[in-house]
Amino acid sequence: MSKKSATSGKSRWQEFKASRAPMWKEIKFTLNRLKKSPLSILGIAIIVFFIILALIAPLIAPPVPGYDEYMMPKEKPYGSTPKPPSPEHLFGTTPYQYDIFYGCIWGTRTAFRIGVFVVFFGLLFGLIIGGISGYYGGIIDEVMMRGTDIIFAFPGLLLSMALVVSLPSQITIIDYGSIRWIVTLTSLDKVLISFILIGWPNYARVIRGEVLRVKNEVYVEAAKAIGCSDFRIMIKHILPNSIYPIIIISSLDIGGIVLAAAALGFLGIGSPEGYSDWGRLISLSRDWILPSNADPLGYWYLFIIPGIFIFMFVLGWNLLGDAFRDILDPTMRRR
Amino acid sequence: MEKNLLEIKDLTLNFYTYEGVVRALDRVNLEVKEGETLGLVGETGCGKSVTGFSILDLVPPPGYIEGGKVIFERKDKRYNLLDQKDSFLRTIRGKDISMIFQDPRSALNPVYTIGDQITEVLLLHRRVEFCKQVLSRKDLTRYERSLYMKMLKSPSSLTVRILSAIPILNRFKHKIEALARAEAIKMFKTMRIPDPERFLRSYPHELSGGMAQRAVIGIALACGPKILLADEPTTNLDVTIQLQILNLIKELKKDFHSSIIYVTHDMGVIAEVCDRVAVMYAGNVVEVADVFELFKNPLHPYTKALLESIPRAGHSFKSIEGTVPSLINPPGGCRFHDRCPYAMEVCIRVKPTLVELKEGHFVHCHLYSKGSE
Repeated sequence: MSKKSATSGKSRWQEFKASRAPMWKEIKFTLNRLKKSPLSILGIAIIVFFIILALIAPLIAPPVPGYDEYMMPKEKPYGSTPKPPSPEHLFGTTPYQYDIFYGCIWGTRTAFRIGVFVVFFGLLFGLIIGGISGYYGGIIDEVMMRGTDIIFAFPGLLLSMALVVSLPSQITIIDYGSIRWIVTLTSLDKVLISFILIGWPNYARVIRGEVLRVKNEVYVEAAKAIGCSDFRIMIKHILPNSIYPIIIISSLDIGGIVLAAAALGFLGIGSPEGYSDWGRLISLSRDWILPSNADPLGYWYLFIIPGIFIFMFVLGWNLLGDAFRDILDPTMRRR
Repeated sequence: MEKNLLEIKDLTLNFYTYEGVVRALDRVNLEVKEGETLGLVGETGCGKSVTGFSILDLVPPPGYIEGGKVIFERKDKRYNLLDQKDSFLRTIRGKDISMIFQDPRSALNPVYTIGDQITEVLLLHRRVEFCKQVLSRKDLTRYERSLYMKMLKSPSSLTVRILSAIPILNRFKHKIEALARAEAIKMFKTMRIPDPERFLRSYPHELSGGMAQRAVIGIALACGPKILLADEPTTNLDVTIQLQILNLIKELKKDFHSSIIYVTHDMGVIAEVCDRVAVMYAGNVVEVADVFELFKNPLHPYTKALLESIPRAGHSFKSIEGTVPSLINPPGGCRFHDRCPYAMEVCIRVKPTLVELKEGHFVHCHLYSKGSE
């Protein structure tokens, strides 16, 4: 009887389940490990909270129809004095009556866009350039690493400011008259591009070092001895062994980049005025942080609330970086 | 007489280091016959391992093969492995000639399970065979069938490679992987490993040294190689495990009909596993003989000294006078002349040639070539 049922449709499901059993076991094991480090759970919880916040932003802070949803709504009359938190404005308003609540909620989306986008592309370039230069060595290595040195020679934030200012708003990629491909860059895009351009050498350096270490390991020699091609060795054998430090660094960097973007926003470079961006939000109320003519801490909501958002976001990513290490590294996890 | 499976002819290899050119191998000649175990024995740094690596054309960077040939016979065709393209060599490495490394733990990739690593070799070299097996099944979907047909036609098809990197769409891979896994389990069962399924699921750092070495041996033998290069496979293991591994290698050799090149510095191990022995000194093969002949009737002064230096209970053992010469500036003539008790004037000037004294007993020494003159 059992043989008969083994050929039926049900057995396929069982076969599938059996093939997945090791995977489930791994997932359970991972969760079990996570339970033991409460800080990792806190980090994950914070990031999950922000992800949910970004996803449901249109529900909790509905945009005004007809306007760009990333621009904070302004309330008339446009008085220059900020208003404290009230039922209409949960977190109060900035000078010129931008709604802080709206700015904080939609600013979450901006933060994710900046952090994830910059780190993803920075990591991609870093991986390719660092990996190739570490694996092949010689003149290729020399040329690529001197390239990174040039970028390292400039102070990062200053260089990115210069890049933001000097990047054109429109880049014509192809112009054949009828076929035209013009990319328009908003001021936020310029910030992203400048961060990618100054961010990748960091990753490239770390990856190169890791690749240099891993490529002399015996198992890489062993992989060659079983007939793997160079590409296969790089992707399957060197990359997984050299990526852990980078994953942790990049997770920390997402926080750092959001912080740097906030700094640029505070200086007035980057997103336009009224854009939902935490740094920009604080920048709007620069004059009210310690006003001389009134109670110095009377306008706390102007900078404390967006500051908490920035702080929590960066903290979340930093804790997540440690969680990644616990989850991903098999030599760390089974001891 | 059996035919030669592998011939190394006049292999010369240098390492270009900062201090100078290290002349690591100087006209090495070796033959490996079908089904035999050849022991390569010598002191540290005499070029045993490098000889092994140059058979696979995998000499690590400062090393450069200056000349010579490594002739390998496959399907009645003879190839010089040193002037083949890399793509051709990749079909030989791991399939026809494979390697066991000295330290099993560092020879296994820490981020993959043993199962992942052995299926990788199997799928690299026996993909076509597994494809045919999968295609003979009745329960394939049309999507899977088309992909496996493609894979059969060209194993490195780009479509298949791209699809197998995309989650969900790469489910089709499970069928071929399951076959490779089954093959791996069969392999480890013949090696008498308890609970092979569990063994396949474990990571290298979860295994003991002996078990890890078994995994390495399993990976090396997975595709039924004709030649197995064993680079001191038991040096890092303790003595009881050593014996088990040696017995395992001996048994597997019978099952798989492969030749083994066994690199070691341990004369005891040589006596245990080898049929023939090649003694190396400072980049030269100084004596080649049948294992019984060599232990009974060593001819080269270095071999004699080496055999006397094996510690035995109740005997005081002699060490060899002097030190291993620097290979940057090797002594002229015979490289052993400054440590040799029988050194003659001719030894300093002329490099001796490998002479066959008895059948199958070769010596690289003026003491004997003079007699034949």
